[in-house]
Parts: sequence; structure tokens; C-alpha cells
Amino acid sequence: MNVRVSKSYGEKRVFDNFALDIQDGEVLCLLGRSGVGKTTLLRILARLTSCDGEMRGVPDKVGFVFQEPRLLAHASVVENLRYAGADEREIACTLERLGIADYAQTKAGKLSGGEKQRVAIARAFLSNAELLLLDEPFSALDLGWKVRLWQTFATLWEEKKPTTVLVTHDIEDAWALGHRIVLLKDNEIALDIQPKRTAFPAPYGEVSEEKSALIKAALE
Amino acid sequence: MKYSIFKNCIAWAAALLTMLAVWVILHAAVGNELVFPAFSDCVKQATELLQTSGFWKSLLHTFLRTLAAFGISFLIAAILAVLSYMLPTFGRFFAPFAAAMRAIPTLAVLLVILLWAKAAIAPVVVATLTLLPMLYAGFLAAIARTDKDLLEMSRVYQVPWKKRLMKLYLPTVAPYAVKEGTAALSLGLKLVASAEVLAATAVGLGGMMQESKIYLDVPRLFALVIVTVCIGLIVELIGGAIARAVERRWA
Repeated sequence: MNVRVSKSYGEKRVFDNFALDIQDGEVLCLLGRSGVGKTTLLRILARLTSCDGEMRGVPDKVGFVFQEPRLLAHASVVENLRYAGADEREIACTLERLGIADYAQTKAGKLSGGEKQRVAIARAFLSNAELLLLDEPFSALDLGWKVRLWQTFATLWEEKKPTTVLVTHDIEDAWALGHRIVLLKDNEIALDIQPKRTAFPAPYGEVSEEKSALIKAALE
Repeated sequence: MKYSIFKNCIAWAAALLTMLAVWVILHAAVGNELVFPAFSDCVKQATELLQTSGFWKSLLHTFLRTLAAFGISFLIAAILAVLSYMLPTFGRFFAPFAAAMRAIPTLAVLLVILLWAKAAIAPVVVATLTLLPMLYAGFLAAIARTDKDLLEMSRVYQVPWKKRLMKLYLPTVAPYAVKEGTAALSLGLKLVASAEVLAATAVGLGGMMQESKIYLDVPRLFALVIVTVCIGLIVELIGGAIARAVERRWA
């Protein structure tokens, strides 16, 4: 997939002929400070936001994990997954694999924030979309839940390996899950690396020279 | 839960006793049975009324007119609200009509309608014209309350419109629709009864009130008013219970 886009909000030019290639089957993490356009790019890929330019190979149907879970509070976990078009058998298997079969019939409104986001991640994978988009999905969670959901993501991703774009401002998220990490700065790709993986997800707080270089580049 | 029901019962009892006390004081102060009868006389009249088939026939006709007005305005208001939500241009076009309907002096309209329609039908038309803009505004506001984030999620996942209607819009709108509907039904009853008085509708609570007034049977008139109020309260209580059940279902 490749995109070449321009986008303005009033006077502010977010992207000006910005180009990005996304390889099939990779987890691409877009890293950058607030306001650099990460979420805008994601919304463009999801066709939620219009833009000038072109997108090649980007499918119509995507799975999207928003910053907030966006579940139907009055519906159960299973009903929420069905709502997004998930297959019944896949729902049952996925809930078993994630160890959350016990609250399949629980109303989504009664779940904790972390549990809701776990269901939202499952929903994205169960949509069987060719492209998954995650917009800072762990930002509202404490460290314990963040690490749990990294594992949830990795467990589900290993099964079908969909092309994934994950947007985050947290280097730990990008390092844990990204096959490729792109640092955005002022309409440019400041850094584009493919870190050497020790595990998927990488352990929290893992130290390496590559990661240090990434942190340094992000802070500049 | 039981304690709050107990507190509500105490509040109601206190309110009713206060109303009774005010009645007794006013009756004593006015000192004229033709102007303000004793509460006991009104209760006696009400008891007698409830035992006559004529009363129940009149009540049935008034209630059927109320249901007709409510049903017609509910249906039309729902259709117009959906259209206005889906087509904002239509919403802007219809807004002046809704404003005009709200501003119409209701009982003056009745006098006009009596030139064209029978006394039995005119109360239905008047009540419909009054309830329609109220229900329309309520439904539109309820639909507009649908969570925009959930709508966006539905768009991303390409959820079919039928599913969105049943799983997203309906649970959002239903509790408000029931509350609005209950208020409208209660108001409709008052409107129909009032219109029947002016139209001198033969078979109806309003017609009975008009007849009582003509024959200066003031206790009977008051009794009819009390009965109408009680029916309105019962409608609100039942509607409130249904609204709470709907809210719990989709909470």
C-alpha cells in the first residue's frame, strides 16, 4: 500500500505531498509528538477524513481501534463483536484464546477500561479486515493493562498477520509491537527503522542501542 | 430501594393531604356551594358517576379520541423527525411549520375546525395539532443524542443500516420516546377533554362537564374534573413505569 497525501485544517498545513509506503503483513508504528498528524493520517487511511492526493492498495474495509473503546454499553461483549460483523465461531474461539470467555455475556458498560479496550482490539481482528488501524489504543490505560493488551494484540496478530498501522506517542508501545517504526516530524519521515526483535511483544523497558537512538531522535 | 418507595409514598400522602386542606379552607372561605362545593359532595358525585354506564361510555370515547390523536401525532412526528435527521435540508424546511403549530392558539383553532368537522372529530384534530410539534421536537432531539463516536465506529465497520437502527438508534431513542409519549398522552387527554367542552361533544367527558355546567351541577362538574385528573395521573404512573423498564433494558 502507498499513500501520497496533502491535508490542511484551515490555515494549518498538516501534510504537504507526504508519502508513505506500508508493506503487506507488517506492523507499522507511527511515532511522533502531538499535532504532527499521526491520527489524521490514520483517519485518512480509514476514509474518515478527506484529503488531496492518492492512496493505492488501501482496502475499503478496515478494522479500527480508537483511543476510547467505543462499545455499545447496553450490549454484551458477544453482541458487540457480532455488531461489527464477527463470525460466531470465531467469536467463541477468540474469547477462549484471550481467556475472557467468562464475560462473554457481560454488558460492555460494566467492564473496566482495560477490559473494554481488549474487546475493542478483538473486534478489530474479528472484522477480518485486510488493514488494521490503531489510534493510541493504550494511552488511557495504566502500565499493567498496557502490557496485558500488548500481549492480547500479539496473540491475535500472530493468527492472521494483517497489515497494521499503530499510531502512538509512546516509544514503549512502538518498540513493543512495531516491526517497523516511523518517526514523523513536520511533514517528514525523520526516522524509519526495523528494530531487531527479541520477542513479540518486546518486554517493557527493554534497553538497546537502537532504542536509545530512537528516543534521542524523538526528543530532538 | 424500598426506603425510596416509602419516602415517595410519604411525599405523595403529604401532598394529597395539603391539597385536601387547601380545598377545605377554600370551601369555607368561599361559603357558596355553587361556586366551590364541599369535597365530600364531590366524592359522593364521583362515586355515583363511576357506577353509571353513561360515564364509562363517555370515558371510553374520550380515551379513544385521545389515543387516536396520540397515535396519529406519534407516527407523523416519528416519520418527520427521522426525515429531518437524515435530510437536514428538510429539517430546516419543516422548522417554520413546527413553530407555527406550536404558536397556534389551540382552542381558537377548535372554533375554526368546528366549521369543517363534526364535534366528535374536532377534539382529535386539535389534540393532534398540539401534540405533533411537541413529539417531533422530542424525537428529533432524541435521535440527535445518538453517540457520534459510535456512529463513526459503525461507519468504519460498515455496519448495515438495519443493525444500526436496531442496536444503536433504537436503544438511544426508545427511553426518550417513551417519556415523551407518556407526557404527550397525558396532555392529549386534557386537550381532548377541554376541546370536548368547547365543542359540546355529545359523548365524552368534556360533554358531560359542559352539561354539568349548564345545569349548575357544580359538585358533578368538580367530580368529573377530579376523575379526569386521576386518569391523567394513572397514565403518567404507568408510562413512567414503562419508561423505567425501557431504560433498564438498554442501560
